[in-house]
Amino acid sequence: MSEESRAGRAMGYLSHVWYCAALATEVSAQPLRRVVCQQPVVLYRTGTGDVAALEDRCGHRQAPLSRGRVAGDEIQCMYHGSIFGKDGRCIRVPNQDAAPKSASIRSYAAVERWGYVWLWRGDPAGADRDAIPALPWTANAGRRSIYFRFYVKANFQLMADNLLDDAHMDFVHRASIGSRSGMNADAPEVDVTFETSGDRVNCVRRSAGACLGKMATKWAGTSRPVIHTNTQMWEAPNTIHSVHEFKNE
Amino acid sequence: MTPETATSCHYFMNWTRDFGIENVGYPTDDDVFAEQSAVIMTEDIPMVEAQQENIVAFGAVHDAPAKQDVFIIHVHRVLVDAHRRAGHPLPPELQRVAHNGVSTLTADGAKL
Repeated sequence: MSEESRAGRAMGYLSHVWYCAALATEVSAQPLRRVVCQQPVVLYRTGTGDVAALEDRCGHRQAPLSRGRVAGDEIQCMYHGSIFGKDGRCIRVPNQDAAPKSASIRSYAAVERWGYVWLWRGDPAGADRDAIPALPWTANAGRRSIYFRFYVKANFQLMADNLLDDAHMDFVHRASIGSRSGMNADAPEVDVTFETSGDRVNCVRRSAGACLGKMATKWAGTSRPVIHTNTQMWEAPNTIHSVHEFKNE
Repeated sequence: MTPETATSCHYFMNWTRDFGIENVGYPTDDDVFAEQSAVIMTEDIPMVEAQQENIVAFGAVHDAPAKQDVFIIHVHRVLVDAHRRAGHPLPPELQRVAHNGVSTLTADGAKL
């Protein structure tokens, strides 16, 4: 087991799942450093436009490859000039005939899909592309999508739990999105249904008499209380789909 | 949501709408970007970061699951199972909750 795998296991990060590593628009021929599950990774586009992902370290003296430059499919460390292929193999060290095998570094399976770059932490040979979370609405001509990336100084599970937790709407978002009760701690009951299927959990919450905040009033086109239905699907390790529907009562 | 370290993460979001798709009147892409950024950066993230700071400051504290946490409870159960299947130790966030009875709550929040 690699040091990276040991460290990841110790922290409890699942290996055989896809993690979103970047917006597709962030990745170019200019190397991008991103730390995923405590592992620094360098992402770049090869000459054919594919995304490559390697450990962000040169196997020679451990300088970050993200400070290097990309040429075709390869990336060159700008400390002493070692060159690595997209498979992590060190293919050239300046001023010597052969590159040592020991200088090679880890590569990751990386796939661009749905406007994001997804990274597989396990053995690249075992990467299951069918397991990438599906976001088909991003490719729907009748819809319009906007992409965001935020940096949060908190454990990823806390942030994910925030999205799964509808109850905070009444308090944290009372002015912007709105609430069922106007910050009444005993809000009207909400119909909630759940369904767990494999590594997915679906939840539908339906609340009548929802008081919309300033922002949601504009979305819904009414300031009167509405029926608010929030349909959410969570998918391991932490992709959350959330659909909000507002209807007049 | 992608872990960076034990106390930081990358939050990727896609906001898709089926109204105003001509992008000429409200909501334009700029409107949505400004609104969603404001909500997440000034309402959600400060609360969650403050929660994280408290968890670090107070150390070994446990959550007290409530009825309104049922979706989280369902999700944590699936994650606990996934970690066990993979032979991974439970991450601190799942331990902090699991130690306080998550696994004994039913879907409607009642204690078994």
